[in-house]
Amino acid sequence: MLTSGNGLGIAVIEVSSAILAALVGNSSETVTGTFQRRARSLSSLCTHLQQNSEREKSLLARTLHDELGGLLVATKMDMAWLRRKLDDPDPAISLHWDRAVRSLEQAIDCKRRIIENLRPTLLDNLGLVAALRWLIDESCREAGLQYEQILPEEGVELGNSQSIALFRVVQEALSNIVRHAHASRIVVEMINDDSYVTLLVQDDGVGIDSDRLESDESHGIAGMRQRVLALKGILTVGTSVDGHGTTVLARVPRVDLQETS
Amino acid sequence: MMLGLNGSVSSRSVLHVLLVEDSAMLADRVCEELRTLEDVEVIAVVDNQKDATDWVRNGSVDVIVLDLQLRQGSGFGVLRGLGDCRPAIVILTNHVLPEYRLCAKRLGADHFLNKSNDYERLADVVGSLRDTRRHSPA
Repeated sequence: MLTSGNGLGIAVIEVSSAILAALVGNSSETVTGTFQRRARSLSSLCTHLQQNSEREKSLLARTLHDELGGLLVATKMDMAWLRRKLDDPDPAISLHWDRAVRSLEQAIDCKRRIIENLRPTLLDNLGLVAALRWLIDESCREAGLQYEQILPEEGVELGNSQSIALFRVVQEALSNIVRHAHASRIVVEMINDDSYVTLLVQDDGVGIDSDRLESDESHGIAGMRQRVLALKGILTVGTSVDGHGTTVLARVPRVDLQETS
Repeated sequence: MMLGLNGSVSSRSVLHVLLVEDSAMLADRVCEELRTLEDVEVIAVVDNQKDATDWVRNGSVDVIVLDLQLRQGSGFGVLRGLGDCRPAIVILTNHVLPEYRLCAKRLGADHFLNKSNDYERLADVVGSLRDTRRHSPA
């Protein structure tokens, strides 16, 4: 059974409102309205913080690429030039030279990995589908998971904020599977129709209990839900229909995606 | 008179290279490397997609040495915007994931070099393009 998790929240607000109204003497409707305004305000703040975080990560990734990356590669180029000028160097010099070059290559590789973690370059250059294929390949290979990707052959035209939000949802879902699910196989599917983009991540693991779904400590799930809500979509997390494993489903309206691109 | 790499008639014996690179520091080093080659001239260095496309459409470019991440636009945008103008294309980039290589090949790139690890091959690649041009039928 899948749940969006919104029903319980509304029920809590209504019960809390009634109790608080009785205590402070205001009408239940007034207190409910206050709670709802505060909930909307917090939701808006969460979205702002998530988007701000993405902007900062993107800026940092760009700076690392342009400035640190430029310096490292320029040094590597100069070392290649110098090496050509060194005729038959002393073996000790060669040893230290090669070691310095290897260290430089490791630094360049490290910089590249940091950038991809901050802001997947594939997302900006080749789009969401290419970025998801890479993410799923990498995550499942590292975790030793079997996987199936059912993704469109052609790229899907989405705006920057939509692409990164859906990418982060799949990234979080995969991270949860690796950390908690004890799964052996996953399926990631993207369905595009005229009205919606739907992303589905399913695993065959131990499933997720309802306590954890509603827990205040489930920041990962709350973060996914907030990202999808910001796109006027819906996120559901729950036990898969066959009773095994977990299914995460994000469904986002296409019209809004195009309007906000 | 000889045939250019893009099939157009050319009377030049010098290979014209357009360098598309958004880092001035790296552009200097690449130019320095290419200057060591006989009959190879870097005719312009640009750092964005629009200028690159304009140069290829309006100039006599034989080879583009093309970075993928640019100040504005991208190397893929340049490849998509070339239309019928088809100089030889050498990608020189730090984006080394296989997905980039596949996409560049699909869009018509002739060579794909990792900026930090394959840089030393750049002179050989451009030199061989010059030699191919020299031996093209007049």
